[in-house]
Amino acid sequence: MNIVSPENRFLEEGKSSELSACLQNIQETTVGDVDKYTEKTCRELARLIVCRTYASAILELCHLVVIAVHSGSFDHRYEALFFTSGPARGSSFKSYFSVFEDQHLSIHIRTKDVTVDYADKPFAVTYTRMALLSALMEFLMTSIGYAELDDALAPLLAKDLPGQKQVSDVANDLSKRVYAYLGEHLPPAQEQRKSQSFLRFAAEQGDDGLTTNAIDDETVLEYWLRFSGQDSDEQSVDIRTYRSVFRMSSHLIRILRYAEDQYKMSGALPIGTDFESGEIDPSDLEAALAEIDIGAQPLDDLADTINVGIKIVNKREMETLQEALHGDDVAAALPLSILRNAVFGDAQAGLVQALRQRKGQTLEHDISAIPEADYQSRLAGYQNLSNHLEQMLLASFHVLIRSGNATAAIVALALEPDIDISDLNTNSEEPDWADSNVVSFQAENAMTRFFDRLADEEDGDLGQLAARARAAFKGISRQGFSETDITHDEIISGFAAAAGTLISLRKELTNFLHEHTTNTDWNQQITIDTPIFKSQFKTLYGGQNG
Amino acid sequence: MAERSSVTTEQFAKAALDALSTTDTILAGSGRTPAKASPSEMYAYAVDPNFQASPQLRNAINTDPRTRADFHHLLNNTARYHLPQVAAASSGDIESREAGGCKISFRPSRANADQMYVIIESIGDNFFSPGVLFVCGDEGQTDRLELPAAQNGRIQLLLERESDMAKGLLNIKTEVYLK
Repeated sequence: MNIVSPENRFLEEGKSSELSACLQNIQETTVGDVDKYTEKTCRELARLIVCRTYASAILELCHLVVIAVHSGSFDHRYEALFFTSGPARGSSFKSYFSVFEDQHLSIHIRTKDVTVDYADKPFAVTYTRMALLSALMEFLMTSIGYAELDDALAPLLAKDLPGQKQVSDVANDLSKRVYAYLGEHLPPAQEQRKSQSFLRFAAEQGDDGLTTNAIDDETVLEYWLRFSGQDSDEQSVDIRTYRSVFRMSSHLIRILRYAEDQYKMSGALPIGTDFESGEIDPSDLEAALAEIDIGAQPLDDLADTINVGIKIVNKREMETLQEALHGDDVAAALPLSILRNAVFGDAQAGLVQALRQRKGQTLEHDISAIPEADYQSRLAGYQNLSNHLEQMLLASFHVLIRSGNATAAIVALALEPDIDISDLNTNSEEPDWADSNVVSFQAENAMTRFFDRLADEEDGDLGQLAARARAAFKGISRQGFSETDITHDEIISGFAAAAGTLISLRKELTNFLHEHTTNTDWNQQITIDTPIFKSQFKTLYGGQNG
Repeated sequence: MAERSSVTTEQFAKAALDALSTTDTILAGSGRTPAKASPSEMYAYAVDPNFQASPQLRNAINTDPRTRADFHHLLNNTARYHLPQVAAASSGDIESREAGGCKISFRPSRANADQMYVIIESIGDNFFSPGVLFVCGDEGQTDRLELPAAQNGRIQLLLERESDMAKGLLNIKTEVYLK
C-alpha cells in the first residue's frame, strides 16, 4: 500500500481544512441574529460536494443569475439577490422578487417560483430551491473566488437575455472549475476508505453479515477499544474518539435500515453502477443519502423556529436534544451507546481540548476525575427536557386556539390521544377532493365545531386542556411567548409550523426514555463502564503528548 | 449508454458511510485554519456604510492577495462612482481627482496646517448621496471611510494631512470608490 496515499493527503491539515473553512463560513453566516442558512441547507450543500453531484445545481444557479439580472434590479446585477434578501428562506426570496414590476418580458414572477422563457422552453426556479442555490453561490465565491466566478458569469450579464445554450456553457465552465478545486481538496470517492475496517468488523459480529442486527452497543465499544489506539493507513480519519465511532455506527444503522426497507419494497436498491467503471452512480447515492438524512430533520426544523423568534429551546436545551435523539432505529439498537457518548464522549472531548492547551503535560489528573456526571443524571436531564417539550406543546396549543389556527386540533390529539373528537365530522358523504384548491366544506365545519366546543365546554376534556395550555403559556417568559408576540402573524405561523416538529421530538424522546432505557441498571452500568473508559483514555492520552 | 448493474448492500453501505463520514468532517470545521473571508461580510462591507467589518476581514483584504483582488473586483461591480488612478501630469500633490460624475477636491486648512479639507461633489447627478468611500492602494492597502450626508450635492470632510486616508486620496496611484 502506498503510504503517502491520497487519503493521507486529505488528512493533511491544509487540504481538508480549506474545504472545511469554506463550509464553516456558510454555516456561520448570520443576518442580524438569525443563521442565514439552515442546517438542512448546509448539509444538502455538503452532500452535493461530497457526492460530486453539483453540476445540476450549478446549472440552476446560472439560470437564477439570469433571473436576478433581468428581473428589474437597479444595477442589472445578481449580487443583491444573494446578499440583501435576508435569511435564505423561500419566503425571503419571494419577498425580494415581489417588489419588481419592470422585469424583462421573458421573466415571470409567480407565487411559487420565477420563470424565464427562453426561445426553446422555459426554466423555473422555485423560491424554496433558492436557499440551496444561494449557499452554492457563496461556496463558489469562497472556493474559486469572486473575481474568477464573476468573470465566468460575464456572458449572462449582458443587456440581452442569454440563450439556454449560453447558460449551459457557463454552467459547464463553472462545473469544471469546481471539479478542479475539489480535485485538490477532496479525494475521489473510491479513495475514501474511511469506513473499511469498521464495515468489516460490523459484518463479522452478526450471523447474517452486514445487517442492522449486527450493530449493537458492544460492537461500538469493542471496535473503539480495539482500534482507537492503532495507527495504520486503513484507519478512518478519526476513530480515536468514542464519539466518532458512535456517529459512524449511527450512520450505518440508518444506511442499513434504508437498504432493508428498499429490498422489502422493491426487491433491490434503487442505486446503479456504471458497469465500465464499477463506480456507484453518484446521483443515485446522493438521492439515497438525502432520504437517510431526513431523520435529522426535526431538529433542523426546530432550529428554524428559533430563528423566526420563538425560543422553544435555548442553546443548552438544543445541545441536549442533539445528544439524546438520533432517530428511532439508533435509539432501539444503541441506547447504552447514546449514554456512553453523552458522558464519556464529552469527557474525551475535554481531554482533547486539555491536550491542545497543555502540550507536554500528562492528563492523569484529568482522567482520574472522569466522569463529571453519571448516566442517571443525564437521563434525569432528558426527562426534564421531555417535560419542557410538553409545556411548549401546551403553550403552542394556547397560541393556536387563540388565533383560530386549524393546527390546534392536531396538537390537541397529540397532547390527549384519548380525547374523542370524532363527532366533529358529522357528514362523511362529502367526496375526497383531489384538487387541493378546493376547500372541504365539511373540514371547515369540523374546525368551527372544534373551536365552539373549546369555548362552550370549559369543564370538558377540551376545555380542561385549554386551561392547562393557558397556564403553561403564562408560565413561560421566553422570546415569542408574550401576549404582544402572539398578535403577530409570523409568530403564529411559526407556532403552527413548529407544532409538528414538537410532536415528533416529544414522541421520540418519550419513546427513548420509556422503551429503551428502562431495562438497564444505570447505577451499575456506570461502575462497569468507568474503568473501561479510563483505561482506554490512559492508553490514548496518559503520559504522552497525544 | 454504459450498462448499469445493481449494487450490493455492502457496496452501498461502504459508499454511503464514506460519504456521510466525509460530510460530517467537512461540516465540522478544522478549528485551526483561519476562516476564509465570508462573501456575505465582504458584500456588506462594500455597500453598507453602517456595517462594521470584523478585524479578520479587514486584515484579509489588506494581506491576502486573493481576498484583496476579490474585494476590489466587488467594489468595481457595486460602487456608484469609480475614480481611477490619476495621470501624472506634474510633480507635487494633486488638487483634485474626477471621473464618472464625481469630483474630489483638496484644500489646505488655513486654521491648521496639519489638516486639509476634502470636498466630494457630484457633477450633474441629482441623487448624489454616497455613504462610504474606499481608497485602494497599488501596494495592497485598502482604507474605508463612512461619509456624512451630502448637503446640496456636496460632502465636506476635514482630515489630518498625515492620515492614511488623506495620503491615499492624494496618491495618484490609488483608486477611489464611492458607494
